[in-house]
Amino acid sequence: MSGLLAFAVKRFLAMIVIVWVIITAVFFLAHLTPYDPITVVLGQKARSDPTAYLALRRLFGLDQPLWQQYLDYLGGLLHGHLGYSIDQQTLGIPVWDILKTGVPVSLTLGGYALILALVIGLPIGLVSALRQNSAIDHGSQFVMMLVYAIPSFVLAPIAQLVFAVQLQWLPVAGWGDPGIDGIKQLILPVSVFAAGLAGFFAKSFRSFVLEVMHQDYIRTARAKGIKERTVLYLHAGKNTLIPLATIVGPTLAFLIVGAFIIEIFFDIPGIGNITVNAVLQSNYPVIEATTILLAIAVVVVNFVTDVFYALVDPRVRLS
Amino acid sequence: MARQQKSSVMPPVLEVVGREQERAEEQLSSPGRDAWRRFRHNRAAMAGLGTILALLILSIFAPFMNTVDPLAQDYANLDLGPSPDHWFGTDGLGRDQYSRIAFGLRVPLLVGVLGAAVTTVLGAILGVVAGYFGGLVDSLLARFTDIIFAFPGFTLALIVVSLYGPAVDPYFGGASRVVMLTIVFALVGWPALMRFVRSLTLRMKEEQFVEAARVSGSPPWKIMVSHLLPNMYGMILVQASFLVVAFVSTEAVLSILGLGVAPPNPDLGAMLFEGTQNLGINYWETLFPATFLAIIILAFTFFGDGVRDAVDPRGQE
Repeated sequence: MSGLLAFAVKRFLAMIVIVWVIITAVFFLAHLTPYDPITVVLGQKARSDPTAYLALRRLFGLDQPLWQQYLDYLGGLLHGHLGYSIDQQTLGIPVWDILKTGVPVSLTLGGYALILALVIGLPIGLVSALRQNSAIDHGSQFVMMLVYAIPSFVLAPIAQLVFAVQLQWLPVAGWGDPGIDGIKQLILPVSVFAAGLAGFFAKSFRSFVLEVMHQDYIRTARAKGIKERTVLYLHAGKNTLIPLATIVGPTLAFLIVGAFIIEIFFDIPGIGNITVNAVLQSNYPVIEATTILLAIAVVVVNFVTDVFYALVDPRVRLS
Repeated sequence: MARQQKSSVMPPVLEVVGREQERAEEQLSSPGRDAWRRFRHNRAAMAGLGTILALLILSIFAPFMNTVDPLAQDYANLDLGPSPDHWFGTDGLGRDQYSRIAFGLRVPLLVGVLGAAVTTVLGAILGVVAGYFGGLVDSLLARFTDIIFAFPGFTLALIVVSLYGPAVDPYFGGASRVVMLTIVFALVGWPALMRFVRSLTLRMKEEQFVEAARVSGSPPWKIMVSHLLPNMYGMILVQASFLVVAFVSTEAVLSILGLGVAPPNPDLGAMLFEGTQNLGINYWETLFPATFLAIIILAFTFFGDGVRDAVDPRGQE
């Protein structure tokens, strides 16, 4: 057990260093740009009203030397401050107030998509593996490969064209209408989002099951005369769930980036949409904050996955 | 001609032996030749390769492919469907969609192939160095790789393109964003390949041919360049073709978000997004760019899968 603790502590310290390096890199990338955000926000007024220009510079701390700004930014982050928005509509509003409305939206979208992908992908992967090299296996593998390979920015407009514009069964876009309309709005984005994931899960789960089914202990269990069903659920089941847990974690990174395109196509007010708007306005504090939050999310998920893996498979700790 | 001369000099028995030898040479097998034979018999993979070549030819020689000026607007012919005059129809400004697609293929293909090439070279060099030397070099490179690996490449591209894009737009003609995206992707894209090549190196460096090279006095760089890497080309090519897929997708996503190539210039992602604004009026404007993006991605996926099956036939089971 102490081995596991040492492993976890080591990984945790590495995680802190990684997050710090990323924050530093992102800060300097965003602050060394050749353009001046205050001039952009004020437009004509920047030249005609130098007092306002200087006041805003001071407000955002841009009159300070860069290293002071960096220390202030790090200090702010430690207290949970992500800085203030710099664009015409939301000037001076804390970045977190802008992002926080998007977080539950993106989590809802990603959560439903993940569940749907697991519900579709795992049974297909399981059946493919148990009927290896049958027509069902080859057919479903081909279909799953296609939905995995075809990107969501191709699937999304085609789904909108077929189900919304032509058949008119579902709305083209939108989010959060009350009652049945809200559910209808969910169907297309969640399905398109889940398609690629389902393909990935089906492919991976098939190979996990195949690998486990060829192990010696499965042969032993069968040789003892245990019912195939019991072998499958009791002996094989547990051991396919471990690798599965390790691929679901890193999928989160895919979920986050995938959400950008789904949110844009279906006009969903999540983190992705907010960030893209910030990018188009060159509202760098928001982009900075999103990048750092995403990096932290990815690093934390990887950390949890590593520790989980070390917990269930002691060989990892020793290597 | 040569054989006839030979047969006139050689006694019949020797002639038979010579023919056997010739046949043996034809069937001579090397890992590369075996892989190519397996690849050639994989129909999906060959279709992928053919499609890639066709798309490259279409985009490189776009001006000679019966195209018109991709920027020319024609207000008498707006939002048309496919016809003999406009094979893929026209868009909301009356521009010929076939010509725009032929030219618009250039950006995704260039970013994809160039980005993957740079990334692959970076990842392969770092991976083979870390794996071969081990020790301190390895652990330093491993830490560095961990950091880059955690970097959210997509949002990094967002930052760079949005904050530095306007500043570099005046340079490199219209290609500045392409150059910038390629560099960003390459800088953050190499860690997965580095780890892969490192693990291959660790496995391979204990083998006898490496030992033989070391004993005969080859310097480390020579062992890496002419003994280790050539034995990984196939596996690296597999990863490279999947990198092309990733970069083509990311470039398309950025163009769809309005951050790729500047508007009047043709680009598949930008065309796709403009098309979706007209989905109810003329869906061809969406279908053609979407189809071509899907074709590029599927072609490289099939090609990569085919190369993997060809260089590592055991992996299929």
